[in-house]
Amino acid sequence: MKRSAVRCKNLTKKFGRNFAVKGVNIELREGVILALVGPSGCGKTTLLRLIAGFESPDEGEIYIGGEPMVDNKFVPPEKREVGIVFQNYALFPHLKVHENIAYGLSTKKDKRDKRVREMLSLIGLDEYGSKMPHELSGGEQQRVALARALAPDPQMLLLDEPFSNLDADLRGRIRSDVRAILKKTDASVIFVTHDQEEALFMGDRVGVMDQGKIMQIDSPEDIFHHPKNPFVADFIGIADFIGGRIKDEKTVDTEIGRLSYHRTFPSKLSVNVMIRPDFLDIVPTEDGVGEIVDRIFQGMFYLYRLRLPSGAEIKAMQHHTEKYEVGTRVSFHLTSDHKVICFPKGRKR
Amino acid sequence: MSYLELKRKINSFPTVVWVSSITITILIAIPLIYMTIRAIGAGPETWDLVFRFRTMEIAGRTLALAITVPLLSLGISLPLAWLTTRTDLPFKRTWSVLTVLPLVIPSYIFAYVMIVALSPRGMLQQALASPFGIEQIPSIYGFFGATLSVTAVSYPYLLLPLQASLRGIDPSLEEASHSLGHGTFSTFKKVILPQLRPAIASGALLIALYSLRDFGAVSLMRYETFTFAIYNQYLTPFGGRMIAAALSMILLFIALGLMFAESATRSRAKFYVTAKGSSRKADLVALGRWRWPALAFCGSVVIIFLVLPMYVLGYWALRGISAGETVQVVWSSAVNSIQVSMITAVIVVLAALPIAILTSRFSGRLSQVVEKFTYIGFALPGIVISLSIVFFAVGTFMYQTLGLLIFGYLILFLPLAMGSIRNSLLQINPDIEEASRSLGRTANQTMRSVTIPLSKNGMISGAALVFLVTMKELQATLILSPRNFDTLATSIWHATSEAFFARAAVPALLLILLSSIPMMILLIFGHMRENYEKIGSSL
Repeated sequence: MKRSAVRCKNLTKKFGRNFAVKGVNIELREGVILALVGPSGCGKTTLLRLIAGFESPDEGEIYIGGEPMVDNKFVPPEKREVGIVFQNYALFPHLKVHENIAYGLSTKKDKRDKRVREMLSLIGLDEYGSKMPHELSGGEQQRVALARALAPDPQMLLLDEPFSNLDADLRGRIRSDVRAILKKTDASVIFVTHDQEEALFMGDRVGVMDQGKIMQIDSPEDIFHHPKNPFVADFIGIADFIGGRIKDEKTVDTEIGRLSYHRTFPSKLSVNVMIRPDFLDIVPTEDGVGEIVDRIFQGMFYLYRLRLPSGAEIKAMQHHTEKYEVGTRVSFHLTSDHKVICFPKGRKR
Repeated sequence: MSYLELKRKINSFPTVVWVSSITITILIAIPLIYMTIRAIGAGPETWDLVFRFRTMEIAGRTLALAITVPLLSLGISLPLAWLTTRTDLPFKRTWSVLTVLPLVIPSYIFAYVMIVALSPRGMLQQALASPFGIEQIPSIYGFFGATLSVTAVSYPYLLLPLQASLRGIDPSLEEASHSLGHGTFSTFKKVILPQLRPAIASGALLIALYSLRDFGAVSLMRYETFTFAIYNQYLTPFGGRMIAAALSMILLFIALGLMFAESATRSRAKFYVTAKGSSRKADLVALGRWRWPALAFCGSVVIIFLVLPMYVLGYWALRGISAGETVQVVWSSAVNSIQVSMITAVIVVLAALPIAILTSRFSGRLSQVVEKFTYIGFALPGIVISLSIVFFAVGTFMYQTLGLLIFGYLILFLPLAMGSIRNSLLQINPDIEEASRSLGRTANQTMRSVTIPLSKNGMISGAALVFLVTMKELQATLILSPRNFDTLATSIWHATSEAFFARAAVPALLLILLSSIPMMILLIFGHMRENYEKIGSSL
């Protein structure tokens, strides 16, 4: 097992009367990328700033590389060895690219120059050392900011919405570049984003936050397929919920039929069943339970919105060859042997 | 530009705007061009005379002032700006208002205060005489007095941009520096100070320009720089006016050089603004025990540049009134000041409006030329402009009329009014005007129903600004006003230079009081402008 890069214990921060971060526990192993995702205002940036030392917590403990940061005395940001890539990159506009990268290095000049060259070639900008930040494109600035943060070989790296200032078409490419660089340097990273797709792509682990609390931390696959509560299910990917009643330890009855489910609940328990659009196939049937109320063309697929007898709506994704008109009645078939996730009713989180 | 293009562009624009812009531009350019021609054509004898004259001495003194004042201002402004923006100094708001207030005090009033307080037989000597038997203290006249007086009234020109830059620096730059292992002091030196460099450079050059142009303080302090020398020569009969013109040309070139340097630093400064949209406020530095020396520093700046001058003025005003100084004279010069300032404010704003519209909404060769010419008043010392007007008007019916004086004010203060109107126009998205055109209004109708109403705030603050500076104006008033026409400014100056100290105090107090009114208006409408901005960004 690798060493712990950062550990937060019961971390709490209030602004006025509002909790920005509430009782957060995180442990991150070395070399792991943790992607923190949540709606805006969920406290993810505050959590990052607490770890960096720009805010001091009201309660709780932070350990970086095993060292306490807020135990008896508060360790200031400049002593924490935590690299940060800011949302707007925060490159020093009066310094050249190589001076920006060298800013955090206190070694002798020849060693420093060597390190700067290493970093420049790591980010693939070998020839850009003597340019000014404003002469670079957004993506290049982004990589320089990354090199600057990595140059002093920090204990860990924090990335605060680093791709949000990039154009959509650029974002995808830069994202994989950055992930490759991070993996190459074996950095321990906490990465904050509001984009769930980005979190699933970047993270070895994904943490979902809401209202200052960590709702779940898991592998991207588990976050997607085995959400622990309705909030995570709803926030990651598209999800609809329909009412159901547990039949036995394997199956649950719903208005679209009997489905098999994960975990076991006592029979007759009322539950909400999570339905993802790719779970279901729809087949036009004259007395089907569902009715198509909308059809959205998404290129490869049609996304159908369907109304059920109870008034609930669910979505189903179908290949673009399956084109049905609005108003068509349909019945449902579960794709393969998929198991659905149930949440006991009345438990929101 | 082809004829058709020109026609199309002009057609898309209200005729009245460009016709009046061009007329005003030509009017304000004439006197200066006339004097240049006369000075060049004055022949080698005059230039010989100029070089045999004490020109080098005068240049040396001018330079000494233009270097010392910006440095001293920086020494005062940099700590003040940092303390009032980036630390937890108590009463920050109050300090930042109080330290900018000396802007209301004209340099000659500050010089007057220093003379009555610190001259060899002034108030300080009187106070020291009985307990310590000190007969005389070192003279305040000359370089020291001039430097201090000009600094007192010009350091806010560095303080304000420094505060703005400090507020504008992206806090994540500092955080980045901290996260890379640099402490508070190292971060200030390596990250913040370099960001301030453009503000320091352009502020210092601006102050150097002010020191170059100052007449009131240097003349009262008997420190002969170019402006004072030009005035003395202007009063000298037999050939003095030619020397004055020649000296004016030299001063003009120095001033233009500084102007170019200033605008060069400003355009370079653009690169420094890279961060976008970080609305987060930076964390304040906790001063801890350093709070006390910091408070002492702010306090002494306010005492030296605001409290003491007001105290001295009050003391002498009471002394003057009890000695039976006639208030009658003060009254008539106050009425003169207010009347002429109000007329000037209206005329200057009306003249500035078409030019502001032209230069903010029409980017062509014509608008560039017009803009450059209107900045004459900003670039050139008032004494040079006044002298050029005298040269042009002497011997005609216009000489020594109120109209000529107001014309002089127009050249001097047009850029100020234009600046505030332009600011309010630039905050309005031109799309609004295009929307009006697309809804069927003509260019003229659009101007009347959209552009002018929207620039109302700019016009009000422009008028307030012009009123303020006209009240304080001294050198053009001395040279251009009709015989026996005294304003508050000239009566203060005359009384002080003739050592009737008690007579100067009441008009000085009155002038400061009257200048505070437009200052308030400026502050209020400055706020409203911010609100406009908010409305604009939420659209």
